[in-house]
Amino acid sequence: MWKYYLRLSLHSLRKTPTLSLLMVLAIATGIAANLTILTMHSVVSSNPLAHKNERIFAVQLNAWDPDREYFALNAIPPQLTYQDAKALYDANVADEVVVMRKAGVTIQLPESTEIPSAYATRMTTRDFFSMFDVQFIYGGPWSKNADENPEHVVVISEGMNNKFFKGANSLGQAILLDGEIFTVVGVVSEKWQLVPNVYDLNNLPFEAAPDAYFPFFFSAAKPYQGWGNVQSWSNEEIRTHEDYLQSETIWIQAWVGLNSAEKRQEFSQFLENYISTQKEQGRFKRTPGYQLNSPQEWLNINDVVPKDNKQLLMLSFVFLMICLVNSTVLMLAKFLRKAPEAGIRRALGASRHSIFFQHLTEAFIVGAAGALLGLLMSMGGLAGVRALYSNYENVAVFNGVTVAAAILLALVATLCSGFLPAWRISHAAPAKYLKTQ
Amino acid sequence: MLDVIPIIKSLWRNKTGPLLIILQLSLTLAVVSTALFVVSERIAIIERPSGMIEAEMFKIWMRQNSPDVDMEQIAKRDMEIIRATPGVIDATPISSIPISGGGSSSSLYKDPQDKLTDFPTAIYETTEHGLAALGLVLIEGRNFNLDEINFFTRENPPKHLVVIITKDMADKMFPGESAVGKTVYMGKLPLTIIGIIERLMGPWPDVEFATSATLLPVMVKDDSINYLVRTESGQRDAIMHSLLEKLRSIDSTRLVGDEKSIEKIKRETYSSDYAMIKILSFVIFLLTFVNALGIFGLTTFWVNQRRKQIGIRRALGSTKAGVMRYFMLENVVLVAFSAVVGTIIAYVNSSYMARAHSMELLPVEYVLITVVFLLLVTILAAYSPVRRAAQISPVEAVSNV
Repeated sequence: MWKYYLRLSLHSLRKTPTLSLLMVLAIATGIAANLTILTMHSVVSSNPLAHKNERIFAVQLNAWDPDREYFALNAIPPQLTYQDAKALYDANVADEVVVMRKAGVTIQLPESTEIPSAYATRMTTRDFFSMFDVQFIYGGPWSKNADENPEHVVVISEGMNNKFFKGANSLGQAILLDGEIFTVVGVVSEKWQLVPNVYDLNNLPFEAAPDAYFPFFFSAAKPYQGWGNVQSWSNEEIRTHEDYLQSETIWIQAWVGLNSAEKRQEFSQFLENYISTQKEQGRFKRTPGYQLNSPQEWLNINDVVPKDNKQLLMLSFVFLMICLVNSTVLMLAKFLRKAPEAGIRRALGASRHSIFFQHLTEAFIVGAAGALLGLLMSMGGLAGVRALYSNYENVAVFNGVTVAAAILLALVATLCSGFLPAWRISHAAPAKYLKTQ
Repeated sequence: MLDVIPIIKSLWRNKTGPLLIILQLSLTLAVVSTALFVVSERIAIIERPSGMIEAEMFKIWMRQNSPDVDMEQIAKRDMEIIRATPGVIDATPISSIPISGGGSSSSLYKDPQDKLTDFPTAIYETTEHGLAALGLVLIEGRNFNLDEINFFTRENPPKHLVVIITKDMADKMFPGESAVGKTVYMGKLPLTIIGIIERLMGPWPDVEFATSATLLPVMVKDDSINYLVRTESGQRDAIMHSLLEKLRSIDSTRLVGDEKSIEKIKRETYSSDYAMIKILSFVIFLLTFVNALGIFGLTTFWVNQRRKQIGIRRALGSTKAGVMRYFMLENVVLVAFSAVVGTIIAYVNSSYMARAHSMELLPVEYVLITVVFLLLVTILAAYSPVRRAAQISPVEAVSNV
């Protein structure tokens, strides 16, 4: 039976090409706008570390100003001082410990005559690579020894490997970081990109992965150029790098991996002990003294989804609704115009039921065509979004959510815009239309 | 106007279509008026003056790679070269760039003991050329003197400084009196205010203290520095590129780059506002288009459905203009109903946003403008089908359709 409906529908659509096209266009515009915004939103609000929500935690310590609370987020500083980060690392309680910072470093090949450029690097402990599921194409993380007494080892991105080594296996090769010789021990795949960058949400949550990684504790020897946030409340006099390391300045991000409930308990106990010993030295006067946050909690606290995005999401649904109403009006007009035809079919014995489904089929064809066209148009929409927002290269891309949403929207669009007209026509009294013939 | 009552009655008899059109138009009215308002707000944000002469300025970033160089000598040498370049009005080293999103801030205190009354401000470390290079207007006091400029190393911080602050900062700290000559504190460091500038924004346009800025006549002898250059109009890009080459050629081991015009920096800083303006303008355009299509399609349909009725009216003496007036009025009635419903929707949404996100309430003129706009769109979209209706011959009244 549905084949017959399909034939009737196609015939009917062909008879009114302009109106059919207008309906498809209306639905397509609505779906395209909606898919574009929905895709953007689904990526912006996603959690790439959801599978580790129970196991890894961003560490916040509250050694901030006794006179006033931290001015943002959950009123606890998002970063640590050097002395606290060092203590956290040295305690060796957690299964994994990552202390890290973003630094701007010049990278060159030895003997290169090219003008040097500065790159965004991450100075970190080795557990970064396992904790954040970093994928390597060559080599892997450096050893634990290389962390503790920092060795001149570096992990570079695939992009850097292409630039400096033309994509060849560069393990064991030497490169200069700020003029010092480092040995390449790993190359990170360009496929590895957390969106958003859960591990460091201070500045740009959607920026590209770092160009290079090297041991964090080189920070103890010299300042390097910090490209992250540096904040302080204490007005201490900082004259030397040693003063800086001992100061209340916060500039380090810290994460711990705690694989079991016992470990979590043990680690909390460690922090409480640490804070109480620090209290004796006059630090940590605020409560709570610390907080551990799962990746999802950390994303929430840092308010990664921009307010504009939430408003655009709402707007896109209203927009879709307007387009659907528009298509419904046109469909209603069209069906009512064909009412005499339906009247004849009814008079010849077709049930209301079959008239209804015949027209719903027609609406479905329009809806499906609209969804398909909308999907194509939303690719253009996403290209537009990438052009509008800097740092959204990784955000405005198609994913499973988009396609699933397209199918769902097509169904909903059809039902919404086709149901009412189909119902109206199937309930029209046939006699009225027969008379005018 | 007497036609309105029968029009409403006839619309009511076939109410599904008209009700849907009213729903569509009123949602459109709500969205378009709100979008117009947001766009105008964002334009106002972007157009706030930064205090700089934005169009004619650029910055270059420089970083010294060898550890034992004297930044003071290098900066002075580079500045001589830059200032001697034809077309350059003035240039200065500066610690960070206004409205760039990156920089340094601090709190000033009137009383170093009273830690609870603080005045947050952006901090710019610059020289006596700062005012001229940025194009700032001094409204009280004086500029820095050459001998007040202090290049210092972190091991030897200054003990006392003179500073220039913005008028907004001065009004906050010393309301109703002149701030010039007053001493304020940054931590323990005493600062004497010597000058007030009309306006200068900090690096972060969206913070509460965006228009509070303090200029210090110092340069930390670090390994990197920004140069801010103002040029004659129209020469900015050419000078930026030639200077880049010149500064690189002096010393090829150092890093000279990240060159950007202030206009570009501003575009990047406000990129989400620009994006919002473009997206919402596009939405307004699309909605206009979709509604025009809908009105066009529906009017065409109504006219076709009522050919016989129109024929009868014409046969009974109605003029072509009379027929046109009837159909146009029908559309006007629909827009009028939509205006009422749409205004209600817009204000329900606006008052929710005002409460939940502390946004401003939608000013009524945006609703009025949108109503007039939608009316125009409706009349234009309906014009061609309505004109065709007027062409219907009275003969149709008696022939079979």
